[in-house]
Amino acid sequence: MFMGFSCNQPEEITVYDEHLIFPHSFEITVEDYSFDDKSDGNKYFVIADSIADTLGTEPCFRWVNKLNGVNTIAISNEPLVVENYEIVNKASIIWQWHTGMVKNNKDTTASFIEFSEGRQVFNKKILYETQPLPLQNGLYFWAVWKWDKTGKRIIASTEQYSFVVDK
Amino acid sequence: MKHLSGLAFLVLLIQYTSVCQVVADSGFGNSETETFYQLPGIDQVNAYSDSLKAVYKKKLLTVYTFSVFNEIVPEIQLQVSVDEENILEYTTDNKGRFFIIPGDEPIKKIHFQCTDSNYHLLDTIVLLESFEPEPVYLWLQPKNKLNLRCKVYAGTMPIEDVNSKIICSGKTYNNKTLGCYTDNEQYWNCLYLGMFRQQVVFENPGDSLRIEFSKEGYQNQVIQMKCNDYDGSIISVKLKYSEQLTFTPKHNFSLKATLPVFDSWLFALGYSHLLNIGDFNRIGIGFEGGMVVSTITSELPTFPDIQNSTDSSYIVETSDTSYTSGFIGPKVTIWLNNPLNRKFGMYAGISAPYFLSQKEFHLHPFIGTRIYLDLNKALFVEAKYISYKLDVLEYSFNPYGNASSNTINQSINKLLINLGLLVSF
Repeated sequence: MFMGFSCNQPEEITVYDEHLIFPHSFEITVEDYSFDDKSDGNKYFVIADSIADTLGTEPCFRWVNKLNGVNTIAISNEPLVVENYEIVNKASIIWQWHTGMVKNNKDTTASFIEFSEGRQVFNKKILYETQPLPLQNGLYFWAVWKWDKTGKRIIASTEQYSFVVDK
Repeated sequence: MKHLSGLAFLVLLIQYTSVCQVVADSGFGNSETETFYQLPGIDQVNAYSDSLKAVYKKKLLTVYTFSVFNEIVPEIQLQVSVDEENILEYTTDNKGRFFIIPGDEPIKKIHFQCTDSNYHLLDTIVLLESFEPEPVYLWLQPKNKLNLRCKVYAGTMPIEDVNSKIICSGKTYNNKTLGCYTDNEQYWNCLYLGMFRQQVVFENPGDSLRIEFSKEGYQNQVIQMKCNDYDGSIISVKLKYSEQLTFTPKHNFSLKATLPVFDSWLFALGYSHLLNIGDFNRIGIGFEGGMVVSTITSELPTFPDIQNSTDSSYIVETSDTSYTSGFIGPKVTIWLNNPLNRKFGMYAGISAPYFLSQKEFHLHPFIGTRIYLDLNKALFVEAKYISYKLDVLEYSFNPYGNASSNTINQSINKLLINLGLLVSF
């Protein structure tokens, strides 16, 4: 009774899915979709599986969950590794979008983000002031994760998907 | 002497036999009572006279006492003067009768007097013309009576052992209210708790009736009425508590909690001993232990622009974290007015709680007021300034995972209003 303690600490999520980028979180579902790449006018298909899709230099991203809360999408040039609820190789992230970048007139139920809505990341810093440069040829990885309403912990995430840019 | 004692034994034997016959004839219950109070018929009168004659071998004078309502008046004392000689006292038996043994000379005049408080004064002279006297019938007029019933409360609780003094027609009756008791069926019976009953005799219906109630710790209360105003129902009386305690509250146990309008919440148990230094009884020393629960609200900035977004669904909510800190320590209380006041006893003081989590002493001044609900239980309201340190978790947003946290030693300073219950003895 007389010992000091505190309540309302972030509780660990008991769910576990090793396929998710943050295994101790609920799943954000990604379904197969297609989009028109504005840079080359081609239509690309994203198949939500472990095989890398071939996409254009300005890919679009879609997931099922609504945009409420704090969400982020990241493109990295190597597979992201998570240890102890945190991405270890943060420097590999080259492009990122988050909820703060949503335009005010955007439908928050769409969960569809164009490449131009995000920003380039250099040395773990988001370059808010410049438009992102189109992706170079290569193998990339992307994933979505989401924080709880207080921003303290990640409660949901997607699997980590890969794609190839080949002009 | 032996002869006289033998006679007395015979008289008693006859009277006892007579009573047993009445009981045997009538059985138990009300029928016995009815038989008991019935006026005797001529046969019974003669039988009584004959039985006495058989014992004493001479003619005796029998006297019967009745009320004007044709009831036998048993066991009543009369002063009897035969032929203006010595006044003798006679008591009627349970059938309202007694007998006079005449001397050698025939009785000519008998003076009867009855000063029983339940009856109006009887003062009459009976002249006897011959010595074959008929039984003498004395008719007594009962005074008015009422069966007074009262129930005494303190608030809504009946209270026992309340002294009641009933004054009516120059007489005083003292009584006490009843408590609970174990009845004949071994049940704890509180049916008559706080009640008393008293038969009051009065001369005239317009006589005044005064009932005074007194009990330690309560204000005296008086009820006055005319006897004929009493309708027979139970009089309910509520006693007010005294303005001051009737004892010095040396030992005071308290339990208090903060009113739920503050973001910090204190819960504490305490004990205070009121010191008596000569006539000075305004300092109390004791201790207090409990806990303080402080809620600290934090807002965690996440990505830029999110907090400025017009869409409320992007706004990160603030989070409340509650921290509980246990403490125990001494306290000193100083009474600003007389601590025996039941209402609005003012006090101030200071406590020095030792906070177990931080292992530190702090000083907490307080001021409060106390009001007694009954004889030894009181409510108090207390303003207390608390200050202590707390290890608060502070979070930093991490765009690549869960927020990181670190501990900051933060000082908490708050003024809390506490409400408490006090038990004194």
